[in-house]
Parts: sequence; C-alpha cells; structure tokens
Amino acid sequence: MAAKPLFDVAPLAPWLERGDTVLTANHRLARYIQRAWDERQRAAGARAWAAAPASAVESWLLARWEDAVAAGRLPLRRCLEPAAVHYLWRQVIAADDDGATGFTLLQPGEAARLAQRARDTLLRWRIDGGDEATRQLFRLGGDSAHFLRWLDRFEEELARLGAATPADCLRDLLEDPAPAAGPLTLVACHDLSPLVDACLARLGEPLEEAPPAAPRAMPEVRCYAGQHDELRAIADWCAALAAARPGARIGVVVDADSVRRAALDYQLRRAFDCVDANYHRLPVNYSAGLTLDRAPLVRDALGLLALLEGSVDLSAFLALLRSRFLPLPDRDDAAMVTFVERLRALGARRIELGLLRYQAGRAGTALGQRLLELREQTERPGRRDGPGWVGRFREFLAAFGWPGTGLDSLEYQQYGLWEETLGSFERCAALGPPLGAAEALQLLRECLGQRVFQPKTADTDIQVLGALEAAGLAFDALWVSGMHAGAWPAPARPNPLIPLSLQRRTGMPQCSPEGEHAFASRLLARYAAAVDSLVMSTALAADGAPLLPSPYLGDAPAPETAPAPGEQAWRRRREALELETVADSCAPAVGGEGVRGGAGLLESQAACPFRAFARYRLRLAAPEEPVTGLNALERGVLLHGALYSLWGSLGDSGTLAALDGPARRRHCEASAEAAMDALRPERRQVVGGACLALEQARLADTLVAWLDLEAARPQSFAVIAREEPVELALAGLVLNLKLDRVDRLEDGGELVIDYKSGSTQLAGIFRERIDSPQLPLYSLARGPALNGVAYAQLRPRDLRLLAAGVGEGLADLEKNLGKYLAGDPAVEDWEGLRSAWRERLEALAGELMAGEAPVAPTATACRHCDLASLCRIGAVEDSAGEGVEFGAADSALPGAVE
Amino acid sequence: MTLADADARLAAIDPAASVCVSAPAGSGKTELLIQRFLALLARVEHPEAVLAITFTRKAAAEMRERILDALADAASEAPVESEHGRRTRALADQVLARDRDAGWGLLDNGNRLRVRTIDSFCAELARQMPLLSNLGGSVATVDDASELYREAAEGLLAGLDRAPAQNPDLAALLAHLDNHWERLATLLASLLARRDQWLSYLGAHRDEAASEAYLRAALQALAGDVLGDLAARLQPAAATLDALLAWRHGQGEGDRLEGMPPPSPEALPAWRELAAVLLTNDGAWRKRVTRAQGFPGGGKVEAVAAMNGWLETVQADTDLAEALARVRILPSAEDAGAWPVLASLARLLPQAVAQLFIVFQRRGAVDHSQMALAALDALGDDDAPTDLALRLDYRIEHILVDEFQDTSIKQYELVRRLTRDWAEHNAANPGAPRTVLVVGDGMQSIYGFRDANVSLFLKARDEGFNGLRLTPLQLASNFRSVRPVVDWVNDQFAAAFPPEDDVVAGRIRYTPAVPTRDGGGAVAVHCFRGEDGADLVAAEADFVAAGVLAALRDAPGESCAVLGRTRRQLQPVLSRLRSAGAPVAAQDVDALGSRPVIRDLLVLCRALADRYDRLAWFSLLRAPWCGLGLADLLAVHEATATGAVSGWLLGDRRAPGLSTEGAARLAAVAAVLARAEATRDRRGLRGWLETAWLALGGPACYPPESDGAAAQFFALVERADAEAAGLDVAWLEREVGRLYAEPGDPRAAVQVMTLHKAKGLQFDRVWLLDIAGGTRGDDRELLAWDQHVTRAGERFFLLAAEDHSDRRSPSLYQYLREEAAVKRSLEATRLLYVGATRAVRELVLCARPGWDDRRESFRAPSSAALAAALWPRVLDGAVEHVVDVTAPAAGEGPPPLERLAAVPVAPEAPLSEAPVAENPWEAVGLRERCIGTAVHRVLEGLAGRYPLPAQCGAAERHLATLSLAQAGLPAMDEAEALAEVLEHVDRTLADEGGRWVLAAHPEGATEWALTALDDAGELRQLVLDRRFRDGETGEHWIIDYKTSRPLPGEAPEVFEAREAEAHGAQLAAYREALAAIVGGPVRSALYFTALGRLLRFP
Ligand code: SF4
Repeated sequence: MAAKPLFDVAPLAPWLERGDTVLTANHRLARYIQRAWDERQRAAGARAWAAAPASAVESWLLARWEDAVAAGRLPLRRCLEPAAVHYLWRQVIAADDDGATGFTLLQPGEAARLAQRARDTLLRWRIDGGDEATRQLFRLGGDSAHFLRWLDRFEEELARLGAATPADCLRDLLEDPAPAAGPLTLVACHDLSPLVDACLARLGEPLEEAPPAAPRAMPEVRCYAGQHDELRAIADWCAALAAARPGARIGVVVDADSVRRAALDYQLRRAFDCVDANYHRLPVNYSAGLTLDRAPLVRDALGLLALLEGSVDLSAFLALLRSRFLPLPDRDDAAMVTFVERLRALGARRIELGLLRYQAGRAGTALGQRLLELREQTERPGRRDGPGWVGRFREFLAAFGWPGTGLDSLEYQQYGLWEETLGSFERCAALGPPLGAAEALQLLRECLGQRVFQPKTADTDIQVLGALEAAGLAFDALWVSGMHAGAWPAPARPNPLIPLSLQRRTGMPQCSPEGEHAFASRLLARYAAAVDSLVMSTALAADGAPLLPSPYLGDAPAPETAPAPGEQAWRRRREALELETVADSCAPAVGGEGVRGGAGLLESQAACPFRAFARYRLRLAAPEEPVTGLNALERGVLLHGALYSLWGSLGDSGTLAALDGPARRRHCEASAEAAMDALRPERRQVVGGACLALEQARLADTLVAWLDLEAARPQSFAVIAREEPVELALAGLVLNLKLDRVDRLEDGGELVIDYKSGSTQLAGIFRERIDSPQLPLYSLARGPALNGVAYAQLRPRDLRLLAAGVGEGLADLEKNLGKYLAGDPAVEDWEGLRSAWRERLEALAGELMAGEAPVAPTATACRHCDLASLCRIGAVEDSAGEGVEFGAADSALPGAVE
Repeated sequence: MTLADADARLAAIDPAASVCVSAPAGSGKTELLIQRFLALLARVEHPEAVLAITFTRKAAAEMRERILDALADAASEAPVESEHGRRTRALADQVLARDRDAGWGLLDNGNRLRVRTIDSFCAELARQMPLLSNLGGSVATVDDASELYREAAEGLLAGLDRAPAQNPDLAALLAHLDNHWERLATLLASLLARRDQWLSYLGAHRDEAASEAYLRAALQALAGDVLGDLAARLQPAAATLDALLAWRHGQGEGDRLEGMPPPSPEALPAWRELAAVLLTNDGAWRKRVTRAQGFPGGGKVEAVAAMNGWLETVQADTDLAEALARVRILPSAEDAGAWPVLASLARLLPQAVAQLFIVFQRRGAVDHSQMALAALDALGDDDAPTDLALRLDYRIEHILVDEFQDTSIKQYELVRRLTRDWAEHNAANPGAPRTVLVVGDGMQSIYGFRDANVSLFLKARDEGFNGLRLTPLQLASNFRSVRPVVDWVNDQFAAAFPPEDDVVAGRIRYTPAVPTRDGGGAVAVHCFRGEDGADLVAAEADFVAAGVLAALRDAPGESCAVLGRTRRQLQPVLSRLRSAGAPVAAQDVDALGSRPVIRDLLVLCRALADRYDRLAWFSLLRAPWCGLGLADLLAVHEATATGAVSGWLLGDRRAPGLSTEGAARLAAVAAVLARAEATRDRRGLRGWLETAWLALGGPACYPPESDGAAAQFFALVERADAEAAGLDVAWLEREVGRLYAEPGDPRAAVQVMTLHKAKGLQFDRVWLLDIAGGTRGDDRELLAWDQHVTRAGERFFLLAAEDHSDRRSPSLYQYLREEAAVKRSLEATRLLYVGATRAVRELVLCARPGWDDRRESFRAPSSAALAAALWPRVLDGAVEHVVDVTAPAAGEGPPPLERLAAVPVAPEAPLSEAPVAENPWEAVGLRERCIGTAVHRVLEGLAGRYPLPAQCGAAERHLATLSLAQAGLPAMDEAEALAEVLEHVDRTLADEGGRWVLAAHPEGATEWALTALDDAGELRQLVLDRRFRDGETGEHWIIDYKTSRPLPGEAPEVFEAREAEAHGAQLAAYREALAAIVGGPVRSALYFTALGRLLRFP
C-alpha cells in the first residue's frame, strides 16, 4: 500500500492537467507534488501518465540558463559548484591577508563563507557592485570596505577562469535575448530573491501563484523541563501515533543543532526498538544528512592520509588502529602490542613519521612493512596539482588496504560519494596553484565537509526536518520543537559584510527583527494550513539557564513531568539478574613462574597487596601518557648515573677534599655529561637537544652543590660500592636489588646510601609495615660491618643526607636512630632493628608468595596509583576539581554560560 | 511608609542621568533595573538601543522575562498592589504606547530586548564585525579552554628542540624551574588563561624594552605607594621616631637609617632597617629595644626608655605592625632576585599568545577571553576608534550593567569603549543624553579569585567612563530579612569590614541596611568541639539535618537552604537529608565521576577504544559484569602474555588453569564484545555502547539510583558523537569530571548549594556550614600576580614567578602572595555576608573552630575562614556542642568482589547488515557515466533544432563541457572525454537515422518523464530520452540513446542483438506506458551514438 502523499495536489490539478510547469521553493516539495500527482492519477484509474512537471525554482532556472548557453544565446561560463566557489574565496582572502591590510584572521574559512554569501546576496538582490554610490557605501564601513576589495579580486578571478556562480548564471539568464517563455505556476515560493523574481517574470507567461490553503490545524502546546525530555516525548509521540494509525504521515521539526539531532535519533530508535538489531529499519527519514568527513569510512581515510603531513598525533594514530577499514591481520599479535607500547614509551604527543616507521618496522608489524613501501611517497610529497594528489591519495590508501572488505550498503554509498568528492577536489584544485601536502589535505577535508551524505532510504512515514523544509507539507501530524523565545522568531542576523542601510533598504533576508517575525508567522501559518494536527513545544531550560517559551505559544502550560531516569530495558535487565559478593583476596601462591622485581615489589606489597599482585604478577599499568620534557623516572636515572660516574672518578673523601672549586666543577660536569648516555636514543630525539643540554647543566650544578655537602661530612669515607647488583632471597622470594652506594667510614663501619631526587623521610623504614623497604633490604644484603643507612636527598635547594645508624663519631646517626626507635617498643637498638627488618620483610615477602592480594591500601597509597579501575576501590579521595581556592569552581563564571 | 532611600531609588530610574547604584543584599535591585530599563525603552528609537549586561545567562533570561511580564501585565491590565508595582506599571504603560507608535512588536518579539551576558554581547559584537575583530566569522567558544592553553604552551616548548640558544628566554625559565618542562607548560597555560589581565601590558604590541621598562616602573610605583601609605600611618609618631632614630644614628648605628625615612622607593633599605628595629622576626612589635637594635644602655638611657615607651603605645596596633613588616618583602626595582626570570617571562608571553592563536585557528574554537579581545578589537583602540553608528545593527544609547562589583578588566574596558564619545554627545544634546547605569554591591564581591576586581566598581563610581560622570547612589532599605536578622548582620559586619573604601587595595567598607520587613526571626551560632577523633563533621551535619527536618515539619510552607563554601562540605548534610526523604534539590553538588557505574562505563569505553590498553581489558574482566577471580586473571595473564587480550578473548580463549566458571564468564563477555566489534562504527555511538552495556548486564550491577548517573553518561556519549569527538576516552574522562547528579526539583523546599550559587537568592531559613574552616593548601604556586592601581590612578599588572625566596626577603613573589592572602581574607568576609543575607527570618551559623585546651576557649580561625574577621564577637551567645569520640567501626576486611551471580545471557539478535558482495565501482566507470550523461545532454539540446547542424558547433562544445563538469568528471580526463562526447554527437549528426531522430517532429520531446504502473501495481518513474510522432507515418516513436560500444572483436550484429536483448524489456515498458497515454500504437528504437546506428524494434 502506497504511503499517503505529503502534498494536497487537488488545488493544483488544473495547471498540472495542462502540463504547465509548476515551480517550488525546493526539491523536496517538487518531489512530493510529483508523488501526489501520481497517486491521484492512479486513483483515477490511469495506467500511465506524464509526470507532473514540478521542479525547484533554482534548478529549473539554471536548466534554462543551460539551454540558452547551449543555444548560443548566452556566453559559456563554467558554473562552479559550492566547494569550488568557497575555495576561490579562500584564495582571494589569503592573497589579501599577506598584503598591506595587517590583519590575520582566525577563521579565514568562515570569512570566505561570509563573503560567498554576501556576494550571492548582492547578486540576488540585484545590487551592482560596480555602482559608484554603492561602492561608496561599502567604503564607509570597516568590514564592508575590506569585503569590497575582496569582491573586486574575486570578480577578476572569475573572469580569468571563465567561471560563474549559480547566481551569476541567473543574472546572465536575464540577458537571454530570446527567452522561451511559457506558463509557470509557483507553489509556496515565498521569499524569493529579486533576481529570481525577475527571471520568472521574463520566463513566465503567464506567471501565476497557486492559491494558499486556509489554516485548519489548531496547535496544541507542550512544555518540558529540559531538552532531553522534549526529545524523548517527541519520540514516544511518534511511536504511539505510528502504532495507532499505521501509514500516518508524521513530521518533526527540529533545529540544526547536531547534539539535539543525535539525541532525537537515539530516542526514536529507542521508541521504535531500532537501537541495535533493527538499526536499519527505523521508519524515519532525516532531511539533514551527515557531512561526509564524519562518516567513519571517510574519517579513517582522512586519518591515514594525515600521515602524508610528516607527523601524526599519537592519539589520532592509535584511534586509527581500531579502524574497521584498515585491514591489519596482525592487529592482536605480539608485534603490534610491542609496537604500540614502544610508541607510547616515546612520550611524544606528536610523532614524526620517520620514527613511527622505524618503530613499526622494528617490531616487525605489517604496518611497518607498508610504511616502508610508502617511504618514498611520504618523505617528499612535494607540490602537485589536483590529479597528482588524487592519484597519490588513492595509491596511499590502496597500499594500506583501505577500505577493506565487507562494507555494508551504507558504507558502500559513502565510498561512492567519496569517489565523487575526489572529483570535486580535483576541480577545486584546478582553480589554484599546485598544493603542498598539508594544503591538499585541508582542501580535501573542506570538500568532504561540504558534501552531505544522505542515505538512500525508502520513503518513510516519519520525517525529521528543518523549519523551512516542513512548510507546506501535508502531514497528518506535525510536531514543531524548540519553540523558545530565542528561536521563534529568530533574532535578526544581517550579513556583516554588507552595509546595513543597504540591507534594510533593499529588504535583504534576516536583516531586521520585523522581517524575522513576519517570516516566522508565515511559516507557522503554512504549517497550520497543511497539516491535520500540530504540536508546538519548547523546553524551559537548556544547559542550566532558563528558556522563555516563544510568544507564539501563548500562555505556555506547565511542564510535563519527566519520567524517571534510566530506560525500561535497564530495569528489565536489573530484574533478570542478581548480584553476589564473593571473597576473592587471595590469588594462587607464586609457583614456578616466580615473580620478578626489586625493592619496589615489597614496597607495593606494603602499600597495597592488591597493587603488588596486579603490578608484578599481572604486570599491569596504565598506558604511558605523553610528557613534555624528561619524566621523573628519567631524571632520577640521570641523577643516579651522574653520581655513579662522579664517585667512580673521585673514590673517597680525601680526593674530594684535595680538589679546589673549579676542579670539582670539572668533575661534576664530566659526570653529568657521561650520565646523559643512559637515555635511549629515541627519547633523546623526542626530548630534543635543548632539554638535554639544560638537564646536563642542571645536573652538574646539583652535583657541585652536593659535593659541598659531602665535603662537610664529619667523617672521612671511601665509596666501596656503586650500583652494586645483589640478589636477595626472602621467604622464597628472590629480589634483584641494586645498591646505589656503600661507603666505608673511618671506623671501618659501612653506610648504605640510597639516592633520592625528591623530598624524603626516614620514618618509612621504621614502621611495623615498612613503606620504604629499600634501605632495610640493602641492610640485609650487607654484612655485620654495616653501621648505618642513609638517604641522599638531592632535591634542588634542599640537599640533605638523612642517616640513621650507630658508630663512633656518628652522633647524628645515633640521634636519628634513637628518635625513631623511641616509638617502637619491639626494637631496642641497631642490631635489634636489623633483625626486626629481616622479620618484617620476610613477613611481607611471605604474604606475597602466598598470593595474598587484598585491596588494602595504606592511607596514601591510592594517591598515585593507576590501578583503581581494576581494584575497584571506592571513591578515591577526589582531590581533582574540588575547590582549589575557594571551592567555588562550580559557581558561575562571570557572565559565563552557567 | 516612605523609605529611607526613596530619593536614591527615584534617581536611579531617571532616564536622563548616569548613575552608579550601590545596592546591598535585599535592596530590591532587580526591580530597579527593570524599572530603569522600561524608563529608557520609552525614550528610544529602537528597543535595541538599550543594552543590559548581566552576570549569568540565567540572570539575563530572568531579566528579560520580568520585563516582558511587566509589559504583558500592563497590556492585560492586571491589577497591581505594591507601591513599586505601580511605578513599574506606569513605566510599562509608557513603553507600550511607544511600542504601538513605533510598531516594535515587543510582546511578539522579546528578542529585541538587548539583555545579554558579557560573553554573549562580546560574541554579538564580534559577529557583527567579523573582520575588524580578526575572527573572520562565527567561531565556537569553549567554556573550559585549559586544553587549548596547554597545547599552546607545549607548542611553544616544542620550538626549543635543538639548543637552548634557540630561545634564550625559554631556556632561562626552564633553568629557573629545574628544567621541569611540565611545570613550565602548566605555568604558561595558566598565564594564557588569564591573558586578558596582562595582554594589554605585555602583549604583542609592545617591544621587549618597553616591557622591561614597564615592569621596572610598576615596581617603582608599587614601592612608592606602599611606603607613602606607611609614612602616612606613622605620621602621628613621625617626630618622635625621627628624633629617636637620629639618636640611634648618632650612636654609630644604622648606616641607612638616619631618621624617619622618606616615603620614596629609594629609601626602601632604610625602611627595612626600621622594620628590623621595631619588629621581631615574626613581625610583631618588639616589647623593648636593646643593643642588638642599636639602642644600647638599657632602660635608664632616656632614648631607649622613650623608644620602649612608644613601643608600648603601639603594641595593640597589629595592623600597623603588619603594614611595616610588609616592607621587608616589598621589592624595589633593583632587587635582582627573580628579575631576569621575570624579564624572560615578559618576552616569552607574547610568543605564547601567538602560539595560542595558532591553536585557536587549528581547533576552530576560542575561549571567552579571546571573544572579549575580539570585541575590543572590533571596537578599536582609542587611536582608531570604530564608528559604531555604521557598524552595529542598532546604535547603543543606554547601558545597564548588573553585578558590577564582580566585573573584570575586560568588561570594564568594553563599557569604556562603548561609551567613548558619550560625554561629548551629551554636552551637545542635553535633551537626549546617553546614559550608563552600573549597579553592584562591593560588599558582595566574591569572584576575586576569578579576576573580578572590586576596585573597578569603585573606580567607575568615582570617575565614570571617559568623562561621563556617574551619580553615586546608595540603597539601604532591606526588603528581604526581618529586623532581628538585619540587626545582627549590621552589628557583626560593620566591625568586620574595613573602615574605609580603598580603591587601590580593593577594600570595601560596610553600609548598614535599614530593615523594612516586619516579623519575628532569629540568628543563632552553633559551635562544635570534641576530643581528638571526635567526628565534628558528622555532628554538624546531624545537627543541621535535624534542624532542617524540624523546620519542614513545623513550617511546611517555608523554604530552607543549607549553604557551604565547597561541595564537599555540603555532601554529608545532603546525604542525611536525602536518606530522611526530605524534598531536597542540590545543583552541582554531587559529583558523578567517582561512582562505580560511571567508572565501569569508562572502563568499557577504554577497552573498546584501545585494544592495547591491557589494564582496561583486565579491568573489564574484573568488573561486576564479568567478575573474574584473581586466579582466573592470572590464567588470562599467562595466556595473553604477548598478544592483545582482545584477540585472545574473541579467539579460542584457551588458557591453562582457567576455571570452568571463569571460562563461562569469559565466553559471555566475548559474545558481547564480538558483536560490538561487528557493529563498530555502524551504530550511533550511544546506542552501540548502551547495547554492549546492556548485554553485559550493566544495569544489574548497580542499584537503581545509579540510573540517573548512567543516563547522564550516555547523554555525554551522545554529545561526543555529535561533536565529532567519537570514542575519545580522554575527552570522556574530562567531561565526566564535570558531571553532577541531577539537581532534583528546583522548587523543592530545601536547597543545598554553595555560597556562590546562592547569590541573588533568598530563603526563609538558612544554615551556613563551617564558618570557621580554612581553605586547603598554601602551596607555593608557580606564579603570583595582581593588578595594581597607583594612587595616581595608573594601572599596572604585576607578575612574579616563584623565585625560591624565603618568607622574609624582599621579593615581588612573596609580596604578591601576601597581598593575595589579604584579599582572599577580605573576600571571605564578603562571602559570609552574602550567605548571611540570604535569610529572611532565621539564620543558623555553624562553626567547628579549633579548641585550645590550655585557655579553655576556641582558637581563632585562619585568616582565610569566612568568619575570621568576625572573630571572636561572632561567638557571643553561641551554643556549644561537645561531641564525644565514637569508636571507629570494627575492622572491616578488604572489600569483597561484587559481581553478577549468573553469567548473563546476552539478548541475541541477528546482525541486520549484510556486506555488499563486491566492488561494483570499478565496473560502473565514472568516466563512462559522465560521457553518457554529456552525450544525452547535447543530443537533448540538438533535438528538434531547425535546421539541424551538420556537426557540433561551439554551443555543443560548451554544453558538453558543462555537463561533463557537472556530472563530476575529474578535470584531468576532461579534454579526452570532451573529444569523445563530440565524436558521439558528430556521428549521430552524420547518420541519417540519427538526423531523423533529432529532427523536428510533432509531439517531440526529450527527457520526457512519465509515471506508469507496473504489473505489480507499483509506480515506476520512467524517463524517455526522445519521443515524437512521425509526421509521415503517424507512428509514435520512443528512442533510447546508448553510448555503449561493441566489445573488442565483437561483431556489430552480435553487439546489437545483445543490447536489444538487454534493453528489450525496458523499451517494452516504455511502449506500454506511452501507449496508455497516447492511446495508439507505439514503436521504439535504440540509437547507438558510438556507431551512428539506429536499431528499430519490430
Ligand atoms: S588504587 Fe589503591 S587500592 Fe587500588 S591497587 Fe592502587 S593502591 Fe591498591
């Protein structure tokens, strides 16, 4: 059964019977007239009939222009597509930008759009840009004066290219010496421009207007607390209507806001049960499609092509790796995992293509292979013309296997449109000089951004359209949403590049509040005349600020109550399933696989056993994030390295004491320099020479200051071990330790030293559950000669040696020891402490080996832990966001959007 | 009853006068604004000539609504009661009359009322002047641009990639910050965020030398002002001190201090010495001076005794001691310190701004500051002002600015530029003056931490704009609170506010309110204390919640509010009220980001977004919908040690040691994820995610209360999709941080909100939480800055980087930090004032001050506390609550694993999409299609022409070119294709059959569209290339053009037969359709243009 037509064709019948041309404001309406006519003929019992001669005004006139050109009555000009016109404007503006004008526009593309529209309006309102009085008017304004200069250049460009915009063509059409006039009937052609009017006046003989219908629908008004509620209600209304009256034609008017359109789409899918399984059976037709650059297939092509620019954004590249349109057979293989890990470890936000290729190749990925094949192309893309680039794009994408196999029909249509757009890209590119890679991609993106993808779907019962598109369509029921005072009537939006006085005088569109009001009123009247029932609605708030109902809504009723959040489907799911809690804090004991680690392993176990399990047995960590400059770990490594080398050359305190200032500095500088080698070459490349040079200088300075402190130590010492690897077994756990340094003091006793680049405290080694097990562990690794342990804190401007222990002339150490031991009844002296350390560390190691892994963090453990998503600890102290200063970060910004 | 401030109220709505209205809390400011707006409307040409600027979008909407309501009420002659209501009505009547005369249609088009926020007005200006504003056209503004600042900062840093010499300033700063690039990036980003403050001073318009000179001048001016103030305050003692110091100098002490130093920056060292003499290290007055200070000899020496005597007299003046202590850290221009760093920073900032511009360009979005700067650009600077008369759609003649106490420099500058020639205009047109009204309340200035600057309000009041003077008006009547509340507020705050206004220091004095509202009411202060370990927060929350619930019971119709400084403070009361089932609304109090449902949804997103995020995948398997145990996790780890988890999970899932139950759970999850993978990018993002979440059993993992949070999350995902962010986890994580639980019914009887949010509202009963609490953290920020207006009225922006200085050395950084602390403390008092003045009849203040056991009294709170300046008077009559220590809950074990009991069965549904078999695009041939179209088009042009040309002419060539281009043929193929098209046409023209087809015939038509019913009764749209009636035979003919050619080696007959076969059915349908129309026999033919052959069908 055919759908009910969306146009009441009866009043038009006399003209259509005669075969008169019927012109409408847009294609959509013309199509509906044809369909309505067909239905009428069928109903009358005809088997075949001439199609109703209905077309959109603009395209009909352009066809007449073509006729006149073809007949040689008008000069041939190439009629440019919108993307090309835009590109031409871009060029004109860019050329002007470099010039003497002195301004740099943030959005030259937007300026081009405005200029394009301004010129179009001028032509259509038949304002002669060459007329001196008019030019004077333009010169008086600031923006319009600039525009006038652009306009002149644009005209020159058009003339040079022998090109025209559609409005130029219509103007030419007026010059047609022998127009083929005939009877014309206008349907719902409101607000045509003077240029079109003039053309019609020449071509229409007679020119008639179809009579308007009288209003019949009484609008019903509804209000909602929020916009989501409104959209949800619309969807439910559609579903209810469609169920109650199959075949009813339903229209929904929404504004162009993409967020609201997406929300409505979801709501309709929910209401019609087309969220997933019936995704392609949603009985809804949208008048506005997706721009092609947003279609996943094309989006990913653009992502790939971005490689031609020589470097890529890491996150964009990673997003590309999940593309369905990029066949990667080894996607889940170890090589890819390694590659991505290494890529992240670079710490760079943007990655040079060379580095990317190297890493991909080194890990042995298929991607690396392809990048290597494309090396020549990507390295020197050079400048090329349109066809040159299109060729390159195709080759490049083909090399990656894009778009893969198994496209569905929508993707297929998108692929076709992509191909068409490449043609449009070429035609645009032909208007200017050869392009570099970045420019070519920019142009391609623009062309794709202007190309709208409209899925080819059957004529469906429900139409979602813009305010203007819905006018005059004969819906059974129409819902006009978003009718708040700020939108109905719309605020005036004059074109800023045309003098206002001129706009007002000639009645250009959108230039006055009065005009907008009249326009909105006409629109509403046309809805009311065409539909059976009309609903008008608004939300009463958006983004936290109130919205006033449009005056057209009269006394707006109270808002309808919103349903509880959450969907029916969620509740059903909740009813069907049950939760259980199980104790699960013990993993299998460590077996043959063992567990690798050093002091950090026990530190984790002490801080939170679950963390030790996840980090060391599951080897989990959050993916590395990019950093600017060197990260904390690297700085620590460099510091360690520099101290290693420094004491390698100095050896003992005697040597140190014998050196004068400059000599010490020389040693420090040499050590700093030597330390820099520890950095991986890729990181050196990413971080850059300047950072390394600064770091080296800083290291040297730190070392110099540190030597002052070492020189002032009360006892002489010799460094007897540096970075010494030690294997230590505790309760079956084998730890690989590295002792930063061991000093032998005057009295023969030893001091173990751990370097720290940040602020440190000794307290952590004296706790029952040892938070900082390094020094205790190191102490176990040394023999009875060990007399003390120390942190060397090399924090800028805060250098200290924090030590505790026993020994002659080491009063400070003993004082520290005494202080800390005072709080611990279980331990009396240094020897006692050492054995307590052994017991405590063995207990920790034993826990770990037994697989004990409860989520039991110490008070501060979670602060710098990245595993919260896995351990599922309750709300971690959320320090972020909460009032940095006055706790009012939530309050209104001055004058800001609330 | 006449009001005490009746004259001021009348003056405020005088449409011929420019005024500055100080309107304390509850003084009916909004009504006044409305009245003035109406009064102005009645006198202007266009309603757009009156501009009102409000602080928030909400305020703008409300103001517009109230104006329109006033007009609508007037139009419908609704009855009025009150005095001010009658005044409003009279004004509204005048506007209606004006509206009728001028045909404005205000009631039908409320948009015409120009009521804007500063941001929307700036955007409007920029939109109307896209080129002058340098924007180019409409551009998106983002509320939180921190990401963009960061990107710009990193961009700047990235430029330093080879050697420090590339950018010595950057290198110097890095060296200063211990080569900590992240920190510098953060610092630059935070500076970019506030560039509207310094841009005009350090921005790109100045050269380096000028910037440096500027900074030096600023330091000089600052020192001059501070010392001037100090000298003035010491004036009464100047003679005494001068003599004593001279004596001291005579003792051979004090090479710099010979007597009372002069108030000039050069004398700063002498001042510092003076401070050392008179003050202890801690900055308190010395009790006595000794040899160490240069006063040897003890009390018997006359000078020493005199000095000690004087010290005794000033002991109580701690303010003065503080002021004197300040010179110790006050820097002079010569104090090197971090000076080179500052100079580097000054040179670097313009570069950072340039980077930011590039970022804006790349992102196509700007921050509000940029929009304001664009608006200012559009208005032109004073040397080249923009003639607004020619630019704006309607000239602005009157400006009203609300909440001017919280104005920022950009807003101030905007008003200044808008009113540039108004003073002259008014002098020339005394009958039709242009006017400005600013209204605000210095006592309610609470946005200092956002760069609002209350001294601008004082400045506007005292100086006006560009010579346009404002009449200062002070309102005093309080229509909101009952007398006991007003009295208490007057009493407490009069003493807490500074005694005098001070433009430079941004100090505001208190103006007492005059109560006008009768009725009973009360103010109560409650203090909570207890031993260590006592939960005072809980006690306070219990007390407040109980109070609120009692109020709801006792006075059901009255509104209650619980106000606090931070969201976290409000949390405990809110949860108590919620669980007691009270009707409560709390906007933006409950952060959702840490809720399990949200965190698990994020895990799902992370895993779906990134198969290489191993942690996310394991988290996915541990989440309640799968709930894998530790042992099974270990097994999965072993099985996936090298590859990605996703591949294994969607593959064979073999893992030694995996439990049977674990395997079943994994299988269920795998099924869901496999489906998600198959439908990736084929569904709307939201639906796709939700489908997966549902299938996993997501909703069942959390209590029903979580649905609101989940719904918000999905709304966010919808936005991500619409804004093209797609499955961008970083974006989602950032946005999730801004999610708050739905506020609940906005008309609920109990409102829980922050003090800042409460501004402008009133409630019958108000509870204020923890007025003695300090604020968190006094970290050494990397930067300190301030604006300084000198006594001479010059304005400086002072900026200092963390210079690693200690707290007592001269340092601009230290100085600014201290200044900021003082300002914060003043603002805290004002914030408390805002809170206290929300109450209509009952005000309860709660405090949890520290308890001093030794003195048996409460300790004074930190200077940042709300009630610091009210201390200790605020305790008068306070109720004390002693809170017991409650034993902590018995040692709970580690949290157990929570998960779905049974493996969820995913609701299976077949996939609806079938992949398309192969790639027909190669087969179609874009070029062939284009050529076909062009040939048809040219033939269409020729058909019926008389005489028919022998071959293609220029027109045909044009037309072919035209249609090739319009059909989408790539330009590279054009020449060749054109030749081919013309060849087809020429061949047709040369062929007799072809000429017959094209010749003029009766009833000839080309591209003739018709509709026919097919056998199934379906409508078919047909287009006939050519039809006509042969004038000789009378037969109707249908011709279909074909541009196809024989295959290589194919005989023409074979080709024709093949084509006839292929198109026979179609032509038959054509014939049938036409026959139905013309009612006679119809014949048809194919015409092969490539061959010039007509193939007639029998
Ligand atoms: S976030 Fe806290 S509880 Fe979770 S693993 Fe880390 S330390 Fe343990």
